[in-house]
Amino acid sequence: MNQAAPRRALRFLIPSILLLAALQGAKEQKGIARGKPGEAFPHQTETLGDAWRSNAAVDAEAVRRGAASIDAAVAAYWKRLGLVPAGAAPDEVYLRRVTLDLAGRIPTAGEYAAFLADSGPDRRFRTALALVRSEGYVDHFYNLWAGLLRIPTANPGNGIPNRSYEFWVKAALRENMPYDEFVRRLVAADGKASEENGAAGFVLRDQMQGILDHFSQTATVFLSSQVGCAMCHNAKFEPWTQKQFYQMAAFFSELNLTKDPAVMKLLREEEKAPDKTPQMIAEIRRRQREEPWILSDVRGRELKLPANYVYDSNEAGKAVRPATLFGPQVVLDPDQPRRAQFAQWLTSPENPNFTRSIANRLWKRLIGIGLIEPVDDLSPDNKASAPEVLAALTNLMVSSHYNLKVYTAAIAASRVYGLATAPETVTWHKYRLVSHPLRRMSAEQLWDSMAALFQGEKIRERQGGRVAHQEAPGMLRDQAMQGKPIAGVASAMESPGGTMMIAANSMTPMPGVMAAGMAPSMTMAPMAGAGGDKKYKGVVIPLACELPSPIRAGTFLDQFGVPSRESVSEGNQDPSMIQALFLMNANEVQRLITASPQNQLFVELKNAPDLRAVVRAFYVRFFTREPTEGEVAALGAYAQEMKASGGKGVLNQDIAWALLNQREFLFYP
Amino acid sequence: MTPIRRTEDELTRRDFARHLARTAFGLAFVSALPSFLRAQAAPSRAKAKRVIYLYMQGGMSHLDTLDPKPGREVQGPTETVKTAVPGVLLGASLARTAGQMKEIALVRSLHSKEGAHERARYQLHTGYPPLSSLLHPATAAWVAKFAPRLNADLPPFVAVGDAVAGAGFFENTFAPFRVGDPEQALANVVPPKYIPHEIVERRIKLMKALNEPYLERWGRVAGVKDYASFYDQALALMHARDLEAFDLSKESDAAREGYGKNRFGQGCLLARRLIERDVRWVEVAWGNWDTHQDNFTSVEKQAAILDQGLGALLEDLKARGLLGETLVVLCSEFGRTPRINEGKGRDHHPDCFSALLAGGAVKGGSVWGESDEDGRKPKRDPATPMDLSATIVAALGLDPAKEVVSPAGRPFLMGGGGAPIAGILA
Repeated sequence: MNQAAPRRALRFLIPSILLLAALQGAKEQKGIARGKPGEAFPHQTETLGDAWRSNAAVDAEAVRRGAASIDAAVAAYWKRLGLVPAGAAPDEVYLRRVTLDLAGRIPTAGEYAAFLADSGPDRRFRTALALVRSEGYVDHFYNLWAGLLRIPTANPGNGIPNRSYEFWVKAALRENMPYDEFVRRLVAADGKASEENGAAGFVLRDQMQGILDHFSQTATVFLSSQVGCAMCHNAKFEPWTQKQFYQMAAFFSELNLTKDPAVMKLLREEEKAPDKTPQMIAEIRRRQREEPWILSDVRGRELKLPANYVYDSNEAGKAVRPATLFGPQVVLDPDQPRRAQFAQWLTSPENPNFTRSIANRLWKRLIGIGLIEPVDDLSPDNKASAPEVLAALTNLMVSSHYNLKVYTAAIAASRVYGLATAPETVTWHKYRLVSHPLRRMSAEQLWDSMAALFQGEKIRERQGGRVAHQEAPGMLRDQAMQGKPIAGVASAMESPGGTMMIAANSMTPMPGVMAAGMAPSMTMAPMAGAGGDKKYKGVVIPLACELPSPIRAGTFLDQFGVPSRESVSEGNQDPSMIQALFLMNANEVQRLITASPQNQLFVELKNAPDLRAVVRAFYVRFFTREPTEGEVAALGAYAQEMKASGGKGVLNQDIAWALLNQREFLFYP
Repeated sequence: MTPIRRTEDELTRRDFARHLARTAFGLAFVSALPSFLRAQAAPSRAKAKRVIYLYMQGGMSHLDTLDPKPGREVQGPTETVKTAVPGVLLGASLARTAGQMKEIALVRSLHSKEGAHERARYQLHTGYPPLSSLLHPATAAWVAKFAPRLNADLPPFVAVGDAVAGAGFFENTFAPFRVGDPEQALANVVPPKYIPHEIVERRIKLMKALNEPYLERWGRVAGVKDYASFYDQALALMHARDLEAFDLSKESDAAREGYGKNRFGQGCLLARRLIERDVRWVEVAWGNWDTHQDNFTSVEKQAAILDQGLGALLEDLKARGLLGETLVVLCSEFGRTPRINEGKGRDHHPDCFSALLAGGAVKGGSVWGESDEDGRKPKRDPATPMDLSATIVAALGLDPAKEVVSPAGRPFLMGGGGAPIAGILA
């Protein structure tokens, strides 16, 4: 099948979309970049424009220097406390760890073989570098940001242009947009909420919440500040007063959401045009709710203290001037939108918690335990366990110009990251960076790892929301409207409502292809007949980053603690009985242990000459290691017994089921 | 652990003290009492064994449902309906519920400081405002932990729909058994029917055998240890006879239609089946009551579904003789503003809202507290979501002042530091 031509066309298309986005970005940036930074605000943040696009390549030397600076800081910490670190983790353990932490899934058999065959120097370093350059990085870190930014994608019609927001964040990660730039563009998003201006989703996400809540979320995500308590009363455990909260929130008082009458008119006309199916009309109505938004700032609009302000009755109901609670004071420039000035202040390296927040968050994402815990509370009482390490990390963040791929790869290439794992419970209080903690996979890692087992080597092409970013949302929709199946995305998938076909990336239900998370009444009849010959027609399994979210309550990802997308969250790894039930019985598990032409786990076994080869293939795929002699023997005995008792069932299914239910699969060292 | 029951003498003395405090010193004094003193006033004539907790997501408008203000401008187009108790009115959409008013106690003076959904619903469910440093257990998790298990096989706490709070800092054993769709409650949790029993059993044996060396090496890690016990529990549940409680297809079509063929109605029906088999606490979370726009259309639509499900549930429980031992609670994280906004909506209003309790341990036909003429603030006998938690705990015969120290050393109370609203308890 010749797929090269359309792919080339898409390759052309993507840069043009990004270029449009960049132009839009440049327009947005004017207000920020042109203005004088203000006397009390010495740091001049450069407008990077398109210069940062070269970041996507990830400079190996920068990563090497970064890793060295982390190694030095950690060594100093060990020395200060007289600690002796554990030895390095075995190579295959490192490979599993770093693949899960940077690409969000377990390694494929091919990756395992290639890693072991590579006898060159710096094998680990090069692996880490390749992974941050891979599409898996986009998936895995999109899952983080989708949880923090609460990007909802399951509910088109809520007035938020979700898909363009999603695509924008994925593109920013892929292109490695510097983090400060990323945050500025979100916080100060301006102009029309067109498909190219996905950053507008940040503001539109909170359109129902009001600016107080919007500010509160902004502070939690980017400053790890729990200033939200002061929304309603003086905070008990933090220094913020309710008035100070209002002073900060007042930076958002000018924010104005309107709808573009011209766009509305166009869409209304389109709706009236003849020969529209109900689906097409629903789609146009969705666009009416989502697309005409214009974000602007009404200069000089003030925020007022609440009428029931209890701390000083003279001030109740009066306007509050914007002021910052900490860091450098902003000298308000009346010619500039306040939000843009806030964004500039927020992302300044002089604002210590901005850098510490992201440095600590990403550290936790890789190491498992933050230097400060909880990671979304950097209140002054919350001290870092290893201050010198946090200092080195914030330095690296600033000196790399907030280059997240360099930063992340540097941690993955550091000595402390590669240490062996201690077989004990590690809490923040006990953790001294001398070994690695054993971690349960996140819900998304588990899901994508199961997808990796099912899809084998193809998972590498699948990652990165490839379809999503190769096809502009509009194109995708047009195809959907015409009822055309979208190549590569239709997939078999179960939900509590029964088996259904889904298009992982489609926005609208279409014949034969429905989005997961929809009402059960919309599901199709189960495709599979009863029995072990259950067939799954689908081509691929959608990855966690492609599924419409919030994930429905009670479904697989939800049971394993995927972020709600409702409150700021990185998800949780809490165990439960129902997770055990799911790993044993869920539809997703049945699919994975059942042989089918799509299930690479079984397709790849076809040439296995004997049970030993099968067992080896399984262990490499499930656990990234060779089976022990004991394990081979145990499975051999099982096969014997099965044969002796009449041989009902399928041996390989039993083995796959049992391996999936090993704690060794769920946890990674 | 056995529930703490107070002797009749103690109770009388405390009730008397509380009564005295209210009459002699007024409400302000009672509210100012340290919570441990207030909590001691818990009544002990508990009748409820189990709880059905109907949580209306998003902030249900009190003015259009449980606390209407006919004739006031703030009421908008919502009409009212007379209940079985003279003088007590409900929003017109709740006609069937109104007929059950003699089994019902209303609380119309709830108020809190939490006006954001996440925080408010967290507080409603746990009795504490959220902290960034720890997760509080849901009140249901406290009950699961401290009330003896009535059914050894079924989980003590089942949550239908989105569970807001779980085990918190308690062991995950007390986390809710979550059901997404009540009609598919066992999807994904029992083996598909086409897999023969013997194959299931054989696989389980293999899984355990292979896992042993791993447990030997990593079994000391807390998470690994937890999963070992959860797998044991999961296997026990898979073999439990009472598992059919989760299967709504065992009900007649008439029964299913009667509750309403929707998530809420079927959730209520599932709740009845579960408490019949002595599950301690079933929560049904449902709805989108966040009516910033078109409040009246949206509330009317949802209240009709609510009314059918709740009405059917109360009637069914009564007919089966279960209502006396079951406490039904209907609540939401906050109310909605008396002011009707430009989009004909109502916004968040934590200053005043309502809840409904019915069945076991509840003084039927009573109304606790009163809001002012526009439902803006409590006028009399204000109560907090913590008081509501404490009331439920007390109605179950448990001690709201039961204290547990979190792993980090901070003390927390089963009733969230609230005082039971004795006035509505039988």
